[in-house]
Amino acid sequence: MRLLSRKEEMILLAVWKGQGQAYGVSIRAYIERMTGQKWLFGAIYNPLGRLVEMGLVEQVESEPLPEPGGRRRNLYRLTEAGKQEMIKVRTLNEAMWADVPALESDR
Amino acid sequence: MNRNQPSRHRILGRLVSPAVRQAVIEDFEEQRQYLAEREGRLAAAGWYWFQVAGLAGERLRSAFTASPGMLANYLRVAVRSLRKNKVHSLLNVIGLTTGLATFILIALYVQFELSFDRYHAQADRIYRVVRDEYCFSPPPLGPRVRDQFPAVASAARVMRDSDVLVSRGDRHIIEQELYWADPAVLDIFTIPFRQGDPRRALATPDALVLSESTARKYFGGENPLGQSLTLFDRQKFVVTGVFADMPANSHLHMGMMAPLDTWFRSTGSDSAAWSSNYVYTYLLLRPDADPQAVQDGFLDMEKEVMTGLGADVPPGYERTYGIQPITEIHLHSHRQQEVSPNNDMAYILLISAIAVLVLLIACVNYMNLATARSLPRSREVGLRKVVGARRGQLVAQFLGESVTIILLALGLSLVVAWLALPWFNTLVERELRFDPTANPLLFGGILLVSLLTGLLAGIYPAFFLSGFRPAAVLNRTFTGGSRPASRTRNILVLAQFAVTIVLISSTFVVRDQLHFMRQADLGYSQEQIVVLPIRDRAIRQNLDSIRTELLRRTDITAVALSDSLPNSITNFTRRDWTGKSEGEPVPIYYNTTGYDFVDLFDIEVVRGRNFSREFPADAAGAFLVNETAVRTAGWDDPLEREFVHWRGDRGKIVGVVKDFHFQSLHQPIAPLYIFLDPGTASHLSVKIRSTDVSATLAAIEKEFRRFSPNWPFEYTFFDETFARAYQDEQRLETVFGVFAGLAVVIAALGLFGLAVFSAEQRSREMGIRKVLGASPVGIALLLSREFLAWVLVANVIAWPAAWFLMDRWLDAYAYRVEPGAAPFAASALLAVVIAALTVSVQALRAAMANPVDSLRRQ
Repeated sequence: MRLLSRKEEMILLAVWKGQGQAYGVSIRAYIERMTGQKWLFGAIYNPLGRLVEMGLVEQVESEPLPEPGGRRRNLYRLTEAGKQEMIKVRTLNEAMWADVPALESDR
Repeated sequence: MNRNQPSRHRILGRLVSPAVRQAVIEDFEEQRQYLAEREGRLAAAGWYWFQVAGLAGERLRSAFTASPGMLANYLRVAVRSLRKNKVHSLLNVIGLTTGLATFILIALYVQFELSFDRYHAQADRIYRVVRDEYCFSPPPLGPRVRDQFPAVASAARVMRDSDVLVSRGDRHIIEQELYWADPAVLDIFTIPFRQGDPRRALATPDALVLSESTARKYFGGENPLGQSLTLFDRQKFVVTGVFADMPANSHLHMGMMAPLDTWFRSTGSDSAAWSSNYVYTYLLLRPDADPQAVQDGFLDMEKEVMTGLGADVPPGYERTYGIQPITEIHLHSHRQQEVSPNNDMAYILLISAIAVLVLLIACVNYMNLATARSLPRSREVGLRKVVGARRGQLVAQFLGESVTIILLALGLSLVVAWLALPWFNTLVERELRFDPTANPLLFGGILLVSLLTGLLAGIYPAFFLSGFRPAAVLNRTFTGGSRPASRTRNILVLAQFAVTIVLISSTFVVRDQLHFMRQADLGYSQEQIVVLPIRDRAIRQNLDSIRTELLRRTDITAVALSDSLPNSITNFTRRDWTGKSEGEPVPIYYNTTGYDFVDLFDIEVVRGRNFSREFPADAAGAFLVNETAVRTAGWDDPLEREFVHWRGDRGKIVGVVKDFHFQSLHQPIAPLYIFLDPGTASHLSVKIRSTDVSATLAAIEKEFRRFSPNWPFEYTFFDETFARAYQDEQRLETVFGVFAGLAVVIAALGLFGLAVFSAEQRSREMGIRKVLGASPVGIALLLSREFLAWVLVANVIAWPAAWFLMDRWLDAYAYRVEPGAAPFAASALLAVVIAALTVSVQALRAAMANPVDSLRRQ
């Protein structure tokens, strides 16, 4: 199985952090907060779509929002495979950073 | 809220993975509605499509970058297929290069024209005061508006003075760009100073501010500050500042500025007189001011002023001053007394439309050639599909090909445009520069347009070609072009030729009108007349002596004085001259002349007589009127009627002159009177007999120099000034001609490509026909017939369009040709001949081919 791209990794993380409550707006907000960049409104959906296709993330509908005629939200949560993938990503990242010599900026 | 609107989001839905499609659509819809409520529907739609376009771009990028190996492969295949089909590639590249080069040049021009007067930092708040079709306003208006209108922050008046003699020591130069101005002009306009203090530069009465190039002209490398220059041979001014030359995209080009108050004082003009209009007034509005409020204020102000002058304000008096934004002067103002000749938005739209059309024709070419090549390409497509290529990849590959071609064409067209720019500059009379770094927006836009052109041109063939079913195309009997595809091609050819024919016939009509105007009998003679401007007072005081001296020569047959020349009489008065009290007074134009004006210019006197020295009463006041004036006034017998000059001079009408075109043929002939007053002449016209023109001119110069040693001697030939009057039309003719030519070339390229294709595709059929005894001519005809039929149909479509367009254009002329059948027939003939030549070369080649070659392949 191929490695996740950086974008996909970030989105996977955002979904996990949401703990079952993650949806489009919250994922976008999380990514914009972490990277400090403005993303295209729809830009999260291609990586997200791939994650869904790979079976790492699944989509569920929320209870109707507490307002008259409130719509249901599309929530995202990790599947079991998704959790496995997260663990792999973390292991990989930790392994990569484990033996990095002390990193001090010269500035 | 409707949750599901799949049809509205069809494009968006295609761009994202089906796994999340529904969620994306809902999110977008929610955000769009949120924006629509807060910012308006338009902003929401803008946001939406911007986002969708961004996603599409990202999608395309990931299609390439997901597998970099494939990208290299696409490129390799694109280059290979370009090299394999040299003729097609060449036709495509030439067509697209021509289209793009045209587009680049026109884009440069249009951008420049649209940028006029936007360089002022406060451009959106600067307005000019106008009235009806005139730009001038009376001197007291500016200060009054500044003091009394709450919306107006500042006002500045400027007055242009041309033909000003400026001297430094014994160097004398005639300046055309001296402006007498209020100091506030430096606050309103953005005029950066190189030297001196803009706040005090116009504060002293003898202050003179120069533009950088003017300063260089007089002082070279010296520091001009504090130096002095003499104006009119008598007034001394001290240079107090130097400002950067005003940019080329400015309607004003000031070379020198001096305080307007000084002019009022030195000429004894009444700066409080509301009766005469001769200054331009510019207003700076407050940032939040409503221009309409200023507009409304004018009517009250004018009524006050009229009452103050003791005049009655008629009930329902509505006509008054108006304001126009400074940024609209260049393209939207068509008034008299404009500072510099303006352009016309209609012309800009027309030329932009031409640019887009030429580019579209090139696009169409690409589509035609690409689909026409479907037969050889179909095998490739089939094989790729068999080994597992998905349709999306094939689409990407074909799009990649068209983008490769367009990038190649873009590179070439930049070179072509750069080479053609000097020529184009002469054509449009601008100094456009080709500088991508100074103009990133435009060149970025051109890149974007090119890519869009590539996509547009490539998208139809891409989907068409990638849609072949492998089983069908790999079968040997597959012959490529299906019926709908060839019908599309034919319609495209039709459209191309229709556009081309519209351009060609428009060129012919413009040429007809130009010819008509040149040949029209204007009612006065133009040849063998030298015109000398009278600028120096010394000349004016010695006119009698100069006239007598000149007439003594045998090569000079007549000398005449006049204020205006017969081809441009623009002064008029609105005084009620008809004696009819009802209705608005009809303006009457006037010219003041000496005794010989009418004779020298061969203007016919149809009743009564010309001014004459033999009638001493003439000197006390005499008038000639034209036939239109007589008709307008409804006089039975105009002769001996009392008439009054605008200044109040009285006299009798001694004769009626035949109507002559004293303005361009745009205007109908209006009422005109000619008043005998040699003293106010500003032109001396000399009729010469051409034996040795330069000797005659030398003699005239010697005569002038006797009285006016300092002023440069200048003259023009009258027929030359006349030729310059129709420059606009001449330019339009060239522009149409050039672009029609380009369109013809591109369309012919496309047609040629199609003919090649058709001949290839039907080579077996032609081989069999030949074996069965068809003649080469018969075969050539057979191959050409289809295309020629389409070109003929194109004519039928193009004629009404061209006729409608040209009829509208001609409406601007009071005296015009009626576009008859000739221009249309000629352009039809031209189009058919070009098409026939293009097609027949290929058809003949096919017809001459040995049938064995084509049949052996079976």
